[in-house]
Amino acid sequence: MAYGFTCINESGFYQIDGTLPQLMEVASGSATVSSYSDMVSGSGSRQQIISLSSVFGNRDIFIFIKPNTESGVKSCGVWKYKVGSQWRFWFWSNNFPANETIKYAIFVSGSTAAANTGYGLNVFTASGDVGYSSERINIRATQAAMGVMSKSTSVGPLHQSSMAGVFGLYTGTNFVERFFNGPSSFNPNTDSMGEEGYEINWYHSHLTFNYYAKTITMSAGSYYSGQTNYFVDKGGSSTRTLITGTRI
Amino acid sequence: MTAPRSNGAVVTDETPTSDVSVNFNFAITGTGGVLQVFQSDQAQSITSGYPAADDLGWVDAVDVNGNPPPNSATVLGTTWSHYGFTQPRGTKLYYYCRRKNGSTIELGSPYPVTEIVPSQPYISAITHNASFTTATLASQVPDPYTTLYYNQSTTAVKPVWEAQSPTQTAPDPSVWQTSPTFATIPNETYFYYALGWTHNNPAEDGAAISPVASREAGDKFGLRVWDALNNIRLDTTDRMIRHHSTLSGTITQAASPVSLFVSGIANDGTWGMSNDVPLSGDYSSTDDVSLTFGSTNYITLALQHTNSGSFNYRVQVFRI
Repeated sequence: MAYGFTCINESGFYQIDGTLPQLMEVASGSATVSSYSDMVSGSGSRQQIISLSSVFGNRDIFIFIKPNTESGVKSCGVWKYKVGSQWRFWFWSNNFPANETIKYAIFVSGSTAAANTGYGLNVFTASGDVGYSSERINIRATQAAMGVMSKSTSVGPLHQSSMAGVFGLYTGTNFVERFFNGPSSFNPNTDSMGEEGYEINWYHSHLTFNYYAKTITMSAGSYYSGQTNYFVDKGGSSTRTLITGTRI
Repeated sequence: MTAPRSNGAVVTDETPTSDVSVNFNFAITGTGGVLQVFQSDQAQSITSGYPAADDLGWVDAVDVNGNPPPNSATVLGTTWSHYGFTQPRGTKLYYYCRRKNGSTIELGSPYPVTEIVPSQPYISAITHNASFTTATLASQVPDPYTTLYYNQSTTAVKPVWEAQSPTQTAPDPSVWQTSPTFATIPNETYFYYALGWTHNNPAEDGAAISPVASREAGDKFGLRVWDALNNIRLDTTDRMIRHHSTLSGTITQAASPVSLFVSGIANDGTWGMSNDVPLSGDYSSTDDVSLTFGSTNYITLALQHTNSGSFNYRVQVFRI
């Protein structure tokens, strides 16, 4: 390290590394969770689109989520997209109770903005970004893993000693794979998917919070299947990261 | 017909952290009709009638090249393996076999074969006693099948961890122990591994090793920061998430795959990476780009289909 301050915790993991910037929380709150079909169709009574200030329109954003009610087994995905210079988010699931909400916390990468109330600790990197500020909202990581995710493989499960207040970082796109289970010789102009018994499935990624097993998993579920409209395969397996932690 | 006889299901590569490929092995492939195999999370007796004869989960057995097995009523000179099943870590699954010729069915044995794949362990903390003469590892797995073992060494060399034969029922006790606590010499640096182990019979036991964690048996590390209200804002056990870099560009059919340099990146539990939504905001534009580890210090991006065209990619890299 040529600049700043490095600090390593009791187990040898970095708290502050003096070079890389800390994430900065820019929004948080609770939102209702749409069904998958409502997300696709843009309808439904439970739809709620979160808009981030356009100040962050040219910034990379990172979204942590967790169910507000910490019980049972619940999955949730995030549709992250942009309208003009404004990031927007839509939370969706096919197994979220209708009267429950999701908690979200949205972070951006490097920022020079640091609070200074005369108490605590601010550390800056050589480029002027905030390496650490004790006055910022932080995510205290509990587990982290990389893995290959596809329609049949998942990242995790990451086991938590306690699930209280634990968020998961939703990385990547919500679309994972569109998969046709018939042969490559299938000709949609002359053959019928229905008659041949073939179908096409859309797989989307979600985080599953299992409060019985105390685990969080990133996986892809089949959210739509059909036997009428043929499409070529799209997407597939790719490396993703799952990070879990508490907001402090 | 002659019934097939399996000599176990075996994980072909124990290094993946999530799902693993499983070979369904046969000492006798049987004769008459076609050898078929079935994977299930349900254990059934041979007289139960399940899995049902017409269950669509039955598939013709093929080897890694897609070829059917040789027909044999006696023990083969070399084990023949059905290729194509995958199994998530931390699960117990059951494998069935049969010969089928029209409506005539000869069920194979054992009925079923069981395969238990251990969860991937991670070391989440290493703590010492006040005099630094002991170190205790923390590691948890979510399933009831995996037994955890631990290794401490003064070198970073990964110890032997996979089962060396079908008769081995536990890791080498001269290398691995079930207690997470080790004796340490103050100021010495140690390297630690956790090993997840599951017992399978027949065939080799399952094993999954954690990334290495190192720690000096010395002065306590870490920083504690309080706010004005005496709340702890940073504690000595905290791991903080840092943003390492963003890699962006365009990948085309003519220039796929693409290798990108990320100094030091490794799958050791302290790095993270993922395709992200480009700043242009098209949520679907990265979904045909696969992201994998390449050679040391590189990650690889590739278009997943020949019909993909070209895509903007944006890869986020984290340290944890």
